[in-house]
Amino acid sequence: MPDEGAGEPTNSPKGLIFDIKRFAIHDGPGIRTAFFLKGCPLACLWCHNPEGIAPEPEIFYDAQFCIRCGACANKCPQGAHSIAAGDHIYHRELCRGCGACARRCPSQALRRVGREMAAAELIEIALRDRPFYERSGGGITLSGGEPMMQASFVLEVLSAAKVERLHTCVDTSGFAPWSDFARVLAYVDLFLYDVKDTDALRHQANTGVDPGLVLDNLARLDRAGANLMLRCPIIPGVNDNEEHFRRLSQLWKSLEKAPVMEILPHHRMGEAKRERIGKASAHAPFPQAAPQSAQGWASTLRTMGVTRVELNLSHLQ
Amino acid sequence: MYDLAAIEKTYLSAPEEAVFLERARIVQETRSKFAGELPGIRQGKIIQELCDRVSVVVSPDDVLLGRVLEQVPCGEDEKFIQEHPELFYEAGVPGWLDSDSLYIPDWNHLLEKGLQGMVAEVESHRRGTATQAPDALKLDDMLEGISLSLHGVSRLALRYADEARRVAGEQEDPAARARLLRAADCCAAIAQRPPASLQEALQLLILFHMVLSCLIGGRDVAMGRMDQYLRRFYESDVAGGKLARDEAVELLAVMMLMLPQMAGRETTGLACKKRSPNRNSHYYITVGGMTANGESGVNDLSAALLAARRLVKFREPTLSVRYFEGIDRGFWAEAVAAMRDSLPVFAYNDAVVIAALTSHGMAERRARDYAHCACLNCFIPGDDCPPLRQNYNVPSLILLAMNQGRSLETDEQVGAATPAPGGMIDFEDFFKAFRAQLQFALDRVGARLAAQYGDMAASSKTGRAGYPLPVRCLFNGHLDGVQDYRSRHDWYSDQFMVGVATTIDSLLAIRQVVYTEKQASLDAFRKMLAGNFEGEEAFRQYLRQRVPSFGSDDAEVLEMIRRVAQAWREEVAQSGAAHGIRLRPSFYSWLYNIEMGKRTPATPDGRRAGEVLSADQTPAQGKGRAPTEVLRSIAQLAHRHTCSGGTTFRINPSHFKGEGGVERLQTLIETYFALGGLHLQFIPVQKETLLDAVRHPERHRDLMIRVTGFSARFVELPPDAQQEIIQRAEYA
Repeated sequence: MPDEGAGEPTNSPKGLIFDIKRFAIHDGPGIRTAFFLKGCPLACLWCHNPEGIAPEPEIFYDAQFCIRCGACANKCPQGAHSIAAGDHIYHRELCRGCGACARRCPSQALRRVGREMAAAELIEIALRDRPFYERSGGGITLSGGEPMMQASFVLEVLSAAKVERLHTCVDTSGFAPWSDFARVLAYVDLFLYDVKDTDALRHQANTGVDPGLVLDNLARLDRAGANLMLRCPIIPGVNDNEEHFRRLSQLWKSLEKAPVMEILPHHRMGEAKRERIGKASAHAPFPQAAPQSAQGWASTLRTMGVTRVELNLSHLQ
Repeated sequence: MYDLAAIEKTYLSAPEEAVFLERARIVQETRSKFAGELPGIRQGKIIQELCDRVSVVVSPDDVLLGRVLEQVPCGEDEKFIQEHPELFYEAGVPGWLDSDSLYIPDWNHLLEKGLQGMVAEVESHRRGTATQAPDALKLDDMLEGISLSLHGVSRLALRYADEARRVAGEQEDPAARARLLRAADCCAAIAQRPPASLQEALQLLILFHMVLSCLIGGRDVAMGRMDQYLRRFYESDVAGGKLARDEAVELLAVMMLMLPQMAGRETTGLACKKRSPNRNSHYYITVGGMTANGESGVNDLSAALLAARRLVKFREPTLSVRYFEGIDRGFWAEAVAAMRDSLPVFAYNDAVVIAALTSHGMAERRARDYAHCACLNCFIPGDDCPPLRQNYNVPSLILLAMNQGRSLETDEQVGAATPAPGGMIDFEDFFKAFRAQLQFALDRVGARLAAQYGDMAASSKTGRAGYPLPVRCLFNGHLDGVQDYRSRHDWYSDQFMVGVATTIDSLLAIRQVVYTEKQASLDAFRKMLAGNFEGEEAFRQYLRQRVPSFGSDDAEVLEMIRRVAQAWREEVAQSGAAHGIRLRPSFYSWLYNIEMGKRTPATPDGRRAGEVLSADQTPAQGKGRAPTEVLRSIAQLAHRHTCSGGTTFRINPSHFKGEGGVERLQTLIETYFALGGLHLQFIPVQKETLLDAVRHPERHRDLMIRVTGFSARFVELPPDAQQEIIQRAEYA
């Protein structure tokens, strides 16, 4: 996981990256390299990448790797770390996220999540796996967080990727000004477009934003001829109901290019990460979806006329 | 058609403590009985006695014959075993019977000539031997011994035929009777003439293999390129309507079941307690690959062998699949699916293996005929296989370079006298010292290997040779002279670097913390290693977590890998040249990384004293990354010069499940091979690993679990998610 922002000043915009995954196989076709951009305007209660929400670097602390050496306590200008009775105590309320502790932490129990990187650095890493993309039909994926929060940087990366003839995906919540989508449109081979909920009130309550912009952008992208894949998280007890599926099928039918609709059954992988960035959820955890129910959702959607449903069970297998 | 389950059950019901007592007693008796004979005739007669006297066992379910009688020893037998361990335990024993292990005969020659044809060939050589030639008497003795032994094998085939007819007579089921009579006919036929059908060919192979591995004794006699030498039998049987494809697949499955259990046993690896002269034997079949002419050797039989392997539940035999550009896609997909499904199937890269063999002087046409044998070796069937090899604990040489060639533990001078730590002012100085230690170790071994080959040549001239007599017809040129392979050809030997990643990580660590960051002087670092990082846990963690390592494809890591690989290649060649033997470099640990690790002090990569060294060509334990990155890293090793060794690659099976899963694995293998990789095999993550990760998360920080839109490190998942995945993994 990248950390420790550094690097020489330049005129090009830099992006804030919180993770890079090589051999990404569930974020678009083929074998890909996925870059996770930090910062998201939404705050979904079920978020599985909670470290991607805040648009600034954060300190990730995993107690199981701490050796209680005290290097962090010695270096922290805020006195946020202390070793007392052989135990490490992290006073997050004092932390300013400067990363001095993470730079010193020998075991990487403390890591600074969020690294400033130039587009050229991303492309250099992406190109290492070009032979794998070529044989598998893969490429790069910009994900997040919400990548469109860093639209200028996204544009820079995508245009550089196109110079290298790399296949490009953008994984987005759709919550960004249309003008930003319009800027990047020509450089995106496939949008992985989230539709989190079709009930406006529930969307507002669970993600923090109104879905109007999301749906509006979806329609405009479709009209503009963009290639789309809809990604629909299904959260047991929230949107696993007939009404949502019916509206999803109507939405799908309204689109000209009949995109693939991918069902993402909820899983609980994000919970532990929340704790490690000190942002344990006040909300009770949502239950993990059962594979059988997920199969049922897919067939419901199919009977409602969505001909291209795919079920992503990779994390439930 | 055949009752594979019954054949499996026959094996599984055999008690592990049963031993092949008959063989041991006959060998013991004949030792003195034929003591007055010339060495060749004596051995021929011993083999004849074995063939004539061992019980021929035919089970009602048998299709191919070759079982022997194993008995659970009584008290008196146990005493005999205690007094004659050489008759029960080791491969290549006893001393008065030529035996060998780890070789691939020219099976095609066996099938073309048949037993009688080989006898005729031997007799023709005897007539052609000039009586005034210096070794004429010795040669004639050896040829007569071979002839006697082949007659013995032929009579053994007839004895199995008779027994099968007798057992057939006892069967009420007409199908069982017919099957046994057919088996009897096959045995009778191969006693007299070359095989004419697939079943006859398999019967001859099984019987001959049994004589070599069980009666004479010897392990890892590999089956070579079965899809090449059996092809004509298969095709003519199928074309002539004698054999349906499904029937052929089952027949091949029977052969695979019989191979490891002729003496009532399947190997169970190092835990095997079986007392047998071929203990720990492995069984290898090579399929696919190009022909000597450079054309595709993949045929329907290649696919039938893969299909047969799926029907067999044993761990053995292993199928080695030779990949080449332009390989039949359907066959290749089947092979990769088998790897994905945890079958014992792995892949070699023809382009690189052939380049490596030719780089050591082999003609390209010969090199294209390679097959796999034990310890990830590539041999040419019917060509001599190098009997000597050497493993090097290379991380320990780094420690010597830090301590002027003296042991960190005893301070004894065991390596080259290189400069004191304070005298090496930059990393280049240190690397020179490391190379000097490599050179010193290789030079010492080179001298020893040359002497050993010399001894073998000398003993060979006095009558002691190598390969068992019956198989000498199946090695090029072995009927022409008394000296065996150990003295006739170029002596060559593979040199295995053990702890590849530990070595590279240690060098990267020294460069970074001593010479770049100057966190510690080389001398202070040396002291920390001697003290096993006592009181230096923070520094050790820094070395583990903050220094780039093998498995990353950052430019500095790739450069270091290439540099170490080149140094190894050059120093190995240099030592060979100095001692007049042909040494070939290799990167391979087998399990020596565990044993050597126990005796190795702490290393600069943060590994503690006694912990394992890195395995084969894989990243050090706990330093895994994305497969694309790791494969790019490994591809930097000098594969085009290494004819052996390989990469055991742990994968998460969930990455390769479902639609597109096999294609994804194909992409990984093919791209790795296009980057210059030699060999690849996979270990899907086991449940045990996951359980250990729960107990010891610090050992498994690299264990990746891929989930829907992202991956997670297993140890970072909440406990219930971990438990849930563990339960799921049982079905993987």
